[in-house]
Amino acid sequence: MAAKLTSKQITELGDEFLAIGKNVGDYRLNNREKLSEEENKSLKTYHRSLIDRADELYTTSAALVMDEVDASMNTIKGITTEIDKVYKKLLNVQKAIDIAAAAVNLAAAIFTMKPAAIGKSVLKLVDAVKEDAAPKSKSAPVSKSISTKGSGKKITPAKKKKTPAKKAKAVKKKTKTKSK
Amino acid sequence: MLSVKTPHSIGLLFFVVMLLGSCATIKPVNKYSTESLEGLQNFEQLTYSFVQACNDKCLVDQLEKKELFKADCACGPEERADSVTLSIYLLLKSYLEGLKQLSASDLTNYSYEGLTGALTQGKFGSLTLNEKHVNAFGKLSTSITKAITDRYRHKKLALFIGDGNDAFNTTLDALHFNLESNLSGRLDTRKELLRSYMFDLFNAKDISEYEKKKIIEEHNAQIADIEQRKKQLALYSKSLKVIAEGHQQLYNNRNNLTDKKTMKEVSAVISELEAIVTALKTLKNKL
Repeated sequence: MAAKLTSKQITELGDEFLAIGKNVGDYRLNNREKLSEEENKSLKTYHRSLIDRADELYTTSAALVMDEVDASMNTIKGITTEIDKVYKKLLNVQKAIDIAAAAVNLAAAIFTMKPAAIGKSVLKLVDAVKEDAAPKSKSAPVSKSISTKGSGKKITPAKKKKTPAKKAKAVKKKTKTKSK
Repeated sequence: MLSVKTPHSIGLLFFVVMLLGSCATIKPVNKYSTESLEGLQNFEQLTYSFVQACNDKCLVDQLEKKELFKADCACGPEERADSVTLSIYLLLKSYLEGLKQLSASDLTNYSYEGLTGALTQGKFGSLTLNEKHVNAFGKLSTSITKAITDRYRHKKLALFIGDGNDAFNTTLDALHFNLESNLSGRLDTRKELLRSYMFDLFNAKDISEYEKKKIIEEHNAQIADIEQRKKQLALYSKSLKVIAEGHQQLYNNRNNLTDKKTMKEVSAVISELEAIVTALKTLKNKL
C-alpha cells in the first residue's frame, strides 16, 4: 500500500521547490550577460516550472488539511452543539419562572372565584407557555451565528424579559385604585 | 409559620449560606472567549487569499505574454483551499462564541419579579401574603437560582473545555498552518515570479532611463506590499498561537475556573493577544 504524504510533508516539498526555483532564478539574474538567449529562455522556463510546482504543493496542502483535522473538527462541532443546548436550557429557566408566575396568578384568580380574572389569567398562562414553546425566536443558535460577519451577536440575558412582572404591577395598581 | 429556631430552618439556612458562598462568576472563561473571539475575527481583515494569489499569477502571465485581455484563470484548487481555511475559521469562531455566551455574567441573572408580583396581589382563600416577606423570598430565590445555575454551567464549561482542548488546539493549528506556511508560501512564490518578470522588463532593449526608474519604483512598491502581507499573516498566526495558549491555561485550570490564579494566568495571555491585535490594526491601515 502506497504511503500518503501529510499536508506538512507536502508543504515541505513546496518549500524545497521554491528554494530550488530561487537558486535557478538567482543564477539566471546573476549571469544574464554570459547566457545566450536560448539558455536564458530555457532557465526562465525551468524557473517558472519550479515555482508553479511549489504553488501547486502549497495549495494542495492547504486543501488536504481538511481531511487531517476532520475528526477534531467533528469534536468541536459536537461540543459547540452541546454548549448551545446548555445555553438554551439556562435561558429557559427564566421562562419556567414566568410560567410559574402566570400559574400563580391563575390560582389566585380561582380562589377569588371571579370569572373575568380567571379568563385573563388563563390567557396570561397560555401566552407564557406559547413563549416557552417558541424559544428559537428569542435566542439565535450558536451554529447559525457562524455565517454572520463580526461579533455583533448580542447575548439576550434572561433578566430582560420582565413582561409578566410589568403586567402584574399594572394589575396591582388597578386593584389599588379600585379599592380606593 | 417558619421559625429560624427549628433544626430544619437552621439546616436550610446553612445550605443557603454555603450555596451563596460558592457563587462566583466565570470571568476567566468569559474574558478569554471574548478577547480570543476578537483576535480570531481578524481573519476577516486579512488582505490575501489563495484565489488572490492565483489571480496575481494570472496577471503576471498576462503581462509576460503582453495580452490586452486576461485569459481564463483556472483557480479551482485555490477556491478549495480558501474554502477549507474558511470552514476551519468559522468552526473555531462558533466554538468561542458558544463559550462567550455560556460564560456571560448576566446569563443567570433571573428575575422573580413576575412571581413575587403574582403572590403579593393574590388572595389564596383566607391566606394573604405579606409583601415584605414575598420580596425577601424573591431576592433569596434569585440568589439561590443564580448560585445553582452558575454551579451547573461552571461544571459544564469545565467539561467542554476538558473534552475540547485537544480538538480545539489541533484545529487552531491547522488554521495557523494554512496561513503561515501555505498562504505565506504563495506570497513567496509571487515575489519570485515578480522578480523574474521585472528583471526581464528592466533589461529589455531600447528602454529609457525614465522607464527604468518607473520599473524600479514599481518593483520596490510590489515587494513592500508582499512583505506587509506576509507580516500580516505572521502576526495573525502568532495571535492564533496565543489563543491556543489561553485555552491550554483554561484546560489546566478547568476545575478551578473561578480562581484568582486562573484569572491572572488568562489575563497575562490576553494582554499578549491585545498587543498583537493592536499591531494588526496598525498594519491593516498601511495596506
